[in-house]
Formats: sequence, structure tokens, C-alpha cells
Amino acid sequence: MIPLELVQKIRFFSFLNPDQQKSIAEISEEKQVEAGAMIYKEKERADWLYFLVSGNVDRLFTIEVEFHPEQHKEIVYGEVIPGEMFGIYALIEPRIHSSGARAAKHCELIKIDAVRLLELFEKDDQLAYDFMKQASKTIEKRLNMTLEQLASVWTYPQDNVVPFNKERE
Amino acid sequence: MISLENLRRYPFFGELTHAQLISIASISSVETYPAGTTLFQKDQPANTLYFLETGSVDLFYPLLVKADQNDLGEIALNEVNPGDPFGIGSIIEPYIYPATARTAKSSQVIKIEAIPLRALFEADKRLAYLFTRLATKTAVELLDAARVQLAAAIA
Repeated sequence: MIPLELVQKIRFFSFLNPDQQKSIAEISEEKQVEAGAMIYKEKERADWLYFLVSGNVDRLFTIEVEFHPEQHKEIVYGEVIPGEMFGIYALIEPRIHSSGARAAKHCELIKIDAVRLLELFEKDDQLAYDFMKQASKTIEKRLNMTLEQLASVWTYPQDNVVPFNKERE
Repeated sequence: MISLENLRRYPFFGELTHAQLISIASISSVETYPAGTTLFQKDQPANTLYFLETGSVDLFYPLLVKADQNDLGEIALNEVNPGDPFGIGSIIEPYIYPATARTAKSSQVIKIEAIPLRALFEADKRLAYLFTRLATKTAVELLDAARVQLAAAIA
């Protein structure tokens, strides 16, 4: 369980009433992550939904070339800033992360037990809808940003530098 | 209005009650479009949610326009397969389509009017949750497809 004040600090949760805040606090944990540490990896089971309280998180995916492990690449395609949600696959079947998340600097996180959150959704339709509505808006925003990055790379390949496209060997 | 059988063919609608199905059927229609029909364009107000019954629909993202070049074409993002929803911008704020949809071959779709659908959401939060969860899942899949394209473009 986390302090109620921590739930109230996250903008994403602004729609929660006091009872819902308490329910969310009860199924959440605080976590500190050192800079450079992986929070979750691509293709791992998604058991927790995360919210960033402080610090920065890079979202990344890897490119593997068969028989050429030396050509392994990590592409950082986005970042999470304080107040934002990440790890949405915890709420979406088959509940496997499609990309990884790594602390870009020391981070303070809230992680919510996804199974217990889904159980809350079964009991409280208003919570379920409001929560998913907020999540959908976050994903839509990220989708639009990614599409803009993609269009920029296609349109101006000579520049090949767009926000959040930090390619690392 | 369409028949309930039209909706029951889709696993998603299996989660809805009989009363919810009747409400959805009453604001739905079935239409067939020839290949090459643009169903909606990026940045248009999103007033219709679609389910593909038969055929194939492609989602595109138009490229930026350079000063010296008016038409740079578009990026093929994803293919919608029969049974899949599309046009999910119609139930995610700010209710704008993020991409363009065009039929790749002759296609039959279920069209759900999104404005009355969103009004139903106000009265029935369970219905609202189920549709919004579906939209979020579809948006995440589209986001993954865009990431793959991005990786290919910059790799």
C-alpha cells in the first residue's frame, strides 16, 4: 500500500473519488529505480502498471538480426515524464510488454498490481471507464507523436533526427 | 438498424448484454464499398466506428508537405482484417481520426454512429468501459505497427 497523498500527486488520477483513491493506494507499491536499470523488458509478462512520480524513463525496443548478434540495436522511441503512465500492456491481453522501459535517471515509481486493478474494474464500472478513458488518451497521444516521428523520418531522411529517436548501439 | 446476428459474429460483442446489443444495433448499419474507397481521412472529425466484415482496409499516414513538393504520398501503416475494429478515434478524445483508411478490395463494414454511441456511454459505464478497452487495445496495436515502421526507417 502507498500513502494516499502519492495517489493524489499523480495527475492521471485526477478523476478518482476519495474511495477510489483509497482502493488504488491499497493495490499499489512504491519503487525506486537507479539510473540505467531496466524496469521491464520487451516480451516480458506485464503484471504491473506503472506511473512515474519523479525522474525520467526511456521506452525502447530492440532490433535483432538473425545470426548477427553484433548488429543488435536498441532504439529509444519515447520517454516518460513525471505523472505519466507506462506499461499499458498490463491491462491488455495477452499482457506481454511489446517494448522495454529503462530508467534514464534515478526514478521514483508507483506500480499497480494489474490483476487486482482489473478486479476493481469488474466491481466499479465508473472507475473502469474513467481509468481506461485516461489510458486511451495517453496512448492516442503517443500514437500521434510516433506517427509524426515516422513521417518526419520518411520526409527528411537526411536529417534523421527527430525528438526521442536516440539510437544506441 | 442491423440484426443482432451481425454483431454476435464478433467475439467483442459477446461481452455485451442483450439490451446493450439492441442499443448498438439501432445505431449501426452495414455498407459495402468498392476497392480504393477512402472511408475517412487523417484529422477529420471521427463520427463513425467501423468493424470490417469482409474484404480488406489499409490505414495510411500522409507525409509532410515540403515547400517544393506538394504530394509526398503516404506511409502504409497497417492492414485491417475481417473482424477487426477501426476508426477508433471516434471513441477516444479528442475524437479525430489519426490516420486515413481506404479499402484495399471490395469491403463490407459495420458502421456504428459514434455520437449516439458516446451518448450511450454516459448512461451505461460498463458499455463505455468495454468499448474504450477495445479502442485502447487497437490503438496500442497501431502504435506497435508504427514503431516497427519507425525502426525500419531509421535502422
